[in-house]
Amino acid sequence: MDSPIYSPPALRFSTTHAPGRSVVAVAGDVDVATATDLHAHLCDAVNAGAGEAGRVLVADLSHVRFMDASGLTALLRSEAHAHACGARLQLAAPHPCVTRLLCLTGLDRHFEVCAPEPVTGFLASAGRHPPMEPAETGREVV
Amino acid sequence: MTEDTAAMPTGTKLTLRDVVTVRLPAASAYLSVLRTATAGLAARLDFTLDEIEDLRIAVDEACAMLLAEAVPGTDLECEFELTGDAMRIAVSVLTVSGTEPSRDTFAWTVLSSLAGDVDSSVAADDRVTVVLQKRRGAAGAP
Repeated sequence: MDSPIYSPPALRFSTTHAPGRSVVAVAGDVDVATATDLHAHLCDAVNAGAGEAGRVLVADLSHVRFMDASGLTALLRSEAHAHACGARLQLAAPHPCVTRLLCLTGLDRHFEVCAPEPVTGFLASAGRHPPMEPAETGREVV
Repeated sequence: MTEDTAAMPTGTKLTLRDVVTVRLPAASAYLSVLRTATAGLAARLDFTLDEIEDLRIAVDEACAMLLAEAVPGTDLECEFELTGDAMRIAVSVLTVSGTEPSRDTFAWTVLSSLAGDVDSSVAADDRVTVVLQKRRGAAGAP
C-alpha cells in the first residue's frame, strides 16, 4: 500500500470458471489494506463470464481468517457489479469470523449463502500453509 | 523504565499503570500487526478466545475509520490500558478534517457491538481519538 518497506499479507485467490458459474476462492485476512483486491478479483470473475444471463458468482470464504467492515463493503460492491452484469453473488461456506460479521450487521439476511465448494487449487494445501506469515514473525518481537 | 525511580523525590509513591502504547505508521498495511498485538495483550488478561477475536476486530475497525482521515506520513497511536478485568483501548491519529468518525456505517455498527463501550473525540490539533473498553466476561454481542 502506501508503506515503502512493510507490505501487508496479501490475499490469495483461486478462480475457476464453469458454464454458468464462476468460483473465486479466497484465503487470508480481508481488511482495509486488502479489501480492494477482493473486490477486483470478484469483479474480474464477473467480467470473464459477462454476457451469460443468470450466471452465478460464488465467493468461497471458507479460508478467510479475518474480515472487517471494509470486506463487507467489498462484497456489497462486487454484488452490485454482478447484478449490473446479470449475475448473482453467493457466499460459499463463510468462515465463522465472516458469519459473525454478517450477523452483527444484519447482512446475513441479505447475502445468499451456499454449501462448501469442492476443494480445489490452493485450498487443497491451504490447511498446511495458512497465509499468516506476518503474524508468525511478529510473535517473538512482542 | 526502572532508572526513573532513582530520580524520583523520596517519599513519592509510584503507582504502577499497566499501559502499553503501540505506535505505527498511519498506513493500512500495518493493521495486521496491530491485530496481533491486540490479541497478545488480551490473552494476557485471560480474555476468552471469543472476546480476543472481538477485540481484534474492534481495534481494527477503530483504526480503519481513523486511517481514512489520517494526515499522510503521521503515526497511528494505540494505547492499551489493562485493568483488573477490562481493557481500555484509545486509538488516535492526526486527521486532515478534525471530524469524528461517522456512526452511520457498518464499521461503527461492528465496533460498538463488539466493544462494550465506545466513544470518540476531537482535540484542538485535529487529533481524533476513538476509545473503546471491553470488560472480561461481560455479556458480549448477541
